[in-house]
Amino acid sequence: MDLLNLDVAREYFGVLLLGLGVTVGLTLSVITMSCVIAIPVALARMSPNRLIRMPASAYVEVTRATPLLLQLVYIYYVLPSFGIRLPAIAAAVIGLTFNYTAYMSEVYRGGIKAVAQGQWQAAAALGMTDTLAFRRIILPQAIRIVIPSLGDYFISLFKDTALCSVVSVQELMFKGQIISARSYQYFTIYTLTGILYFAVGYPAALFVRWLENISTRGYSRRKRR
Amino acid sequence: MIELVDIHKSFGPLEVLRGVSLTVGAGEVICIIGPSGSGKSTLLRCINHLEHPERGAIRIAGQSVYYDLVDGVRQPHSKQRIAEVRAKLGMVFQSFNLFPHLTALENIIEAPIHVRGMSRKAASARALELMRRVGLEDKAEYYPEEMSGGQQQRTAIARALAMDPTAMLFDEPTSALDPELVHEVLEVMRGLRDDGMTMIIVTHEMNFARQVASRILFMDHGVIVEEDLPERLLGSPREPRTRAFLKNVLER
Repeated sequence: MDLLNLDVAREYFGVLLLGLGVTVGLTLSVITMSCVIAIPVALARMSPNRLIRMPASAYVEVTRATPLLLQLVYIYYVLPSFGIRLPAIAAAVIGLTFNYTAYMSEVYRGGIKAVAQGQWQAAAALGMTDTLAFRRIILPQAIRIVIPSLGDYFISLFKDTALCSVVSVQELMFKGQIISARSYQYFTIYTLTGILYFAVGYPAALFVRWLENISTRGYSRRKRR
Repeated sequence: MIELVDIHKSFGPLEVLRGVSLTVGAGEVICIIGPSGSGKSTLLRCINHLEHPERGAIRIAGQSVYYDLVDGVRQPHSKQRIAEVRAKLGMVFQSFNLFPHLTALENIIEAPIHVRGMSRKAASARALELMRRVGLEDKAEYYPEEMSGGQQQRTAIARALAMDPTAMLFDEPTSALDPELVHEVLEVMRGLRDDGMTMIIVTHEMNFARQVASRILFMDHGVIVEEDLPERLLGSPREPRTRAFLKNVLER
């Protein structure tokens, strides 16, 4: 097939690999921060105090009802008008984290609610405060419940990082666009780009499925060993 | 030692407790019987503040717990103070409520370590001793879902005992168990009685109540209808409602 130009592929492979590195780094840093920040957001949304609950709800609803692409563009191109100038990579990390935290807080909220009410009562009856009961008894069970959903978000985040090319983050998609436009080898470069996404995305999806299996197994010694 | 005065509790328009007073002395075993919906469990849950009564006072060892009455207005105690009182009242639930993500041993040492600040080593040693006492010394590493209902409930009793409670509250501890597992839990409770533990037990096990109770209370529609020594209440109840209930239960 003449379309696939191996020389071009070899020439630009290293550059694309660098882009893949940025993509993976972006994914890992955003998923880590979102996983953590989403917990207090979920708690805020469940707070009996309106002053805590309402801002959290507003944040989640606004974020979920507007496109991620718009949020990224907004942070990178609009915030400078208010004197907030961020490097592209920072804008990307903040925008993605902002967006994913909203979705993931909903996942946690569902997970926390899914833990049986009797668990709170048993913890309280043992003299645990709500904070301690949450940390030691409820959260560990909730996390196990939400792992499959968090895994799905992890995979979709990996692919959504491609949107950061519009705010000029030098991730895999951005590199692919630049190189293909320069070399006119659209087929070769974009195919290679796709292969690189798949080479990481597919094992990641397998990993997520494995996590899912573990998390739905139930708690027992025999199976754990 | 535990004193309830004129407890009132409603769920919405439904009055579940309509003025219940009760005094329990140290070492007493009180069994509460009555039809479902009579308020037995709610009363028990008021004692450790899992339910918050709208009116009435609860005193433990002479001290007013959960609320102070300031100029006729109830002031709730801090969460920390409430937690400290609860820690001294062991509670055993109908559905066990063991922590599924922890082994039997971890279930038992969780509160001693994180509420009382005990060392893991000391807490574990004590937990193993308690597991021996409830006949589960070989199940320390088992997760709740790997154990039978009877074993889970005995673990739950050990978990409550690990906090060195001054009294134990049992909320229908054998109601969720297969019939052949009921006796192993009752045996453990009998052992506690013999050791002088103060216990308040909501139960449907009439024979057990007859054997272990110092007093039996019959509750219906949110009030204590009758209370008496086991033989008298079960043998020759005075109130028609008690008689009707016992007739239904004992003739089954």
